[in-house]
Amino acid sequence: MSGNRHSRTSYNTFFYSFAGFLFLYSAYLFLSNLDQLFVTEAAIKTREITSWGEDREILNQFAGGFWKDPYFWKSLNLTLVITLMTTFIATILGIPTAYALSRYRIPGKSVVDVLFSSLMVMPGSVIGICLIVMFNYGPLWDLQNLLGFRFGHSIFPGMLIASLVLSFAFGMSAWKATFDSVNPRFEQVARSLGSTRWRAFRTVTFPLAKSGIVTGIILAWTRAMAEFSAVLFFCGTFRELPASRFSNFTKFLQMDQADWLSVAVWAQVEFGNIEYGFALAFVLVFIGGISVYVMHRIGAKGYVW
Amino acid sequence: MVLRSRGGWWPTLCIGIAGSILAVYLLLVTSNWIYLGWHDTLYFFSKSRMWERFWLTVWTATVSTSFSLLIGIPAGYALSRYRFPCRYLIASVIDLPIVVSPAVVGAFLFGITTRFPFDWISEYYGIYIGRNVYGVLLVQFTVTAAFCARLMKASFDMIPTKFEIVSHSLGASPFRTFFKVVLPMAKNGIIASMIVVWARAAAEWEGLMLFVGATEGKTDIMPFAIYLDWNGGMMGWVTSMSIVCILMAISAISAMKIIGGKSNVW
Amino acid sequence: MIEIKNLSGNLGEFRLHDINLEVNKGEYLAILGPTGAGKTVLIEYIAGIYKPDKGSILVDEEDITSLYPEERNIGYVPQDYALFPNLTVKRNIAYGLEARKMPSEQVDSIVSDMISRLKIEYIQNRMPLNLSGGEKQRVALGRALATEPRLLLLDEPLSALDENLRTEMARELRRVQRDVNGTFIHVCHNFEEASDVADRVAIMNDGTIVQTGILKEVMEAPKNEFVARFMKSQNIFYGLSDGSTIKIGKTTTLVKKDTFTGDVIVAIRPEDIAIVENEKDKGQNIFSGKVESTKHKPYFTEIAVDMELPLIVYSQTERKYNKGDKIRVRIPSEKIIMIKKS
Repeated sequence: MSGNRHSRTSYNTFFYSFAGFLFLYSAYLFLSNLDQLFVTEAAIKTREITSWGEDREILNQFAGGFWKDPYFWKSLNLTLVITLMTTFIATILGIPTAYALSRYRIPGKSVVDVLFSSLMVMPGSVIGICLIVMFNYGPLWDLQNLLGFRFGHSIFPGMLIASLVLSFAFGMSAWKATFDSVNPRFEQVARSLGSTRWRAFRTVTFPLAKSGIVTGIILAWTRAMAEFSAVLFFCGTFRELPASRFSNFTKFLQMDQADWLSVAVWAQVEFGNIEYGFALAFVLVFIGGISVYVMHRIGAKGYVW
Repeated sequence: MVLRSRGGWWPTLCIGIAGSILAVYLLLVTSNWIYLGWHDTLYFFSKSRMWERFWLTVWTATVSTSFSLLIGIPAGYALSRYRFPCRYLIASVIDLPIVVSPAVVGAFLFGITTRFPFDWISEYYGIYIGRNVYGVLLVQFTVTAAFCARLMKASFDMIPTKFEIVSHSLGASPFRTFFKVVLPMAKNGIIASMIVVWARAAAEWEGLMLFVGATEGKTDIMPFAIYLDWNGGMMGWVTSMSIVCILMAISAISAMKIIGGKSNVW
Repeated sequence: MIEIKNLSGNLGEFRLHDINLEVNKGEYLAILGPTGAGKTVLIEYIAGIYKPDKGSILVDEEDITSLYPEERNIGYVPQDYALFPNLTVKRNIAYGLEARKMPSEQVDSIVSDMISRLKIEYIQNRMPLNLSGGEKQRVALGRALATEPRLLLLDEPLSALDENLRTEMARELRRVQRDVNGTFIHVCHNFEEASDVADRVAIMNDGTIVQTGILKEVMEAPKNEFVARFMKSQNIFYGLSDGSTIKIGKTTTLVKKDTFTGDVIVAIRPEDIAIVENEKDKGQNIFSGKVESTKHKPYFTEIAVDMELPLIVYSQTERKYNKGDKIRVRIPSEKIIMIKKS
């Protein structure tokens, strides 16, 4: 009946248009800002007045000439190295935790559930403050004095901890959902055949959960890369510090006088280096876009970040 | 053959790690309260400045959540039901604002509000979207609309299409089916998602920092106010406001768990 | 020899009260009962998946109640077989042997022996995903039996198969059990299936074992109304016995001698009721009635007879009965099942 077909078409169009709106909005948001990379006359004039030091010439180039600036490469390096380490730690700790929460009877499981879910919607500034309060006051502060170094305002372990908080939470949530989806019957049968629980996990559960685990790892890494507030509050910026304040280890890893990428975006835009700041932002968007795409391709089952 | 397995190390390891991690996280969340102590907490809670900001947070989050829902529910349905070409690409683009750090989103919003269609809107309608409450709403909307769509997609995914097919076979039009069959079935999921989206909107501040800037009383919603006061070194305010935010997040999530039951991915 | 003593457990939705059961070595026991009776739960306790609240399980005099599943050497085949999807058939069957760290040549020889015994050579390298129900069952059986468990637990192994396959597979299970001389406990929910495989049956309802015994015994002497109904004695009535007759309703009297007097439940199996063709036949327990309805079943016709005692009768003759026809039936007194109401 043509009447039905008509209403079906308008129905589809109606819904498509909303998805289309979101798509266009997002695309516009990111693409239209590409021109921020180009330097304008007004910007040059402002920089003449406000900026100082040798950077001025570089900054007047396209995108602030970011690829020539060691600060950019060091920051990129810093962020990547730290996030990879964070993801690694999150995976090592997260998979057993997720498995325990999925399979074993732990008292107060719903409390745990609420706790982790709440963390994922809490403001970043609150998490930053919690970290500060937890480490800079009370017994943990005394412990740090004992050890001789501070956790806060440092690259190791400050940034590691700051990015780990939410990276772990997101990853663990994804892994728990994966283990929940593997029928416990398989492990029961494996054990009835004589397998220890580790063997049952290794030979049956883990292979079946593989794609979910990989998705969780990518998710944990993506979240670590997107971390901003916790790092800002707990670590701050490092750019202005003189080279002498960094350990040899950090210099060896090319991470001195650099900032966490998202913090760098903010810092540069604050200082007025719009082109440079946006260039950094685009790098982040690019990296984020690729991981999201990969996650979609693998088939992340409705993981919501 | 004697089979020995007594306990095994794997369960102990898993539970041990889980237990210690949980203890750490619990400490993290309660550290503010431990630091501040009961008495001081009550002191700050009694100040009207606290509640002004709380109220601002609540109503802006509610307004932007409503807009997000308006866009998000149909968009989520489209993402759930339709197979269109390059849908992974399109879904990735839609997800970009939520995957990327909100600071970045704030910077980009700052960029687009100086041009079409925003300058057009401010000229003709006199509404300036930028360093004011409208900016707050815009940031919250940007960050939550796609998130809302994702959550709705998950809710709609749980409803098998066969219900719609049966409804059509009985002669109902697609719109009727949607409103009388699909939406009621998705009701719990939608309400639960709505609560989560609201919590997320109330937690948004990095975008505000880059885009809206701080105007006391007008744009300093709670998380932003925490940053501002922290810069000012007012630790007491900072920790007490953090406690409020934590409580808000926990109550929102608890409400969601109760309403949504098992019908969602959290 | 398996002994279950006073087993009780509470798993939220499912409860078991005071289960007592004995299974002899080399026996095939079927556990029968409706859905929700707790049959699967009992199996899970025996397999060691859950720990019971009270009671003990002994296998060959050894108390295994506190042992983990991997220590019990009890095979377990769950309802959907749970073949490991990531391993081939061969690797599935070898799984238990590899868990015991057996040398690989020994593993291979046991596996190929099992495969030829179950006649599944042609699928030995396939993945479980694409196997048919009957093939899956054989693989699951092979996997569980390869480790020579002292007991094999099967949870509704034939439910996933279609009608025609079921009898064949049931016979197959019986054959394998005899072959390996194993002790099998087989859970099912209808007694036709049990009659194909079991030496003894245990009837479960509501978390307890109601009656155990040989199938014939349970059919002819059910302990209570539930068992009678479950065994499809469809004619069940309440009556009063006075030692030589049973009074049911207002006018019907059945002749049956018994030492018991008092309230009884009467059960008569439809196949035990004879249809009296000859008008002149006289004898005990002959009643007349009208045909209410007829249903054609695969091997007989089910006739509902309308009398004060509404009966279901099976007819295996060619004679057609129509609604309203007069019919005379005879209930042999020795076939009347009397259950004493306690």
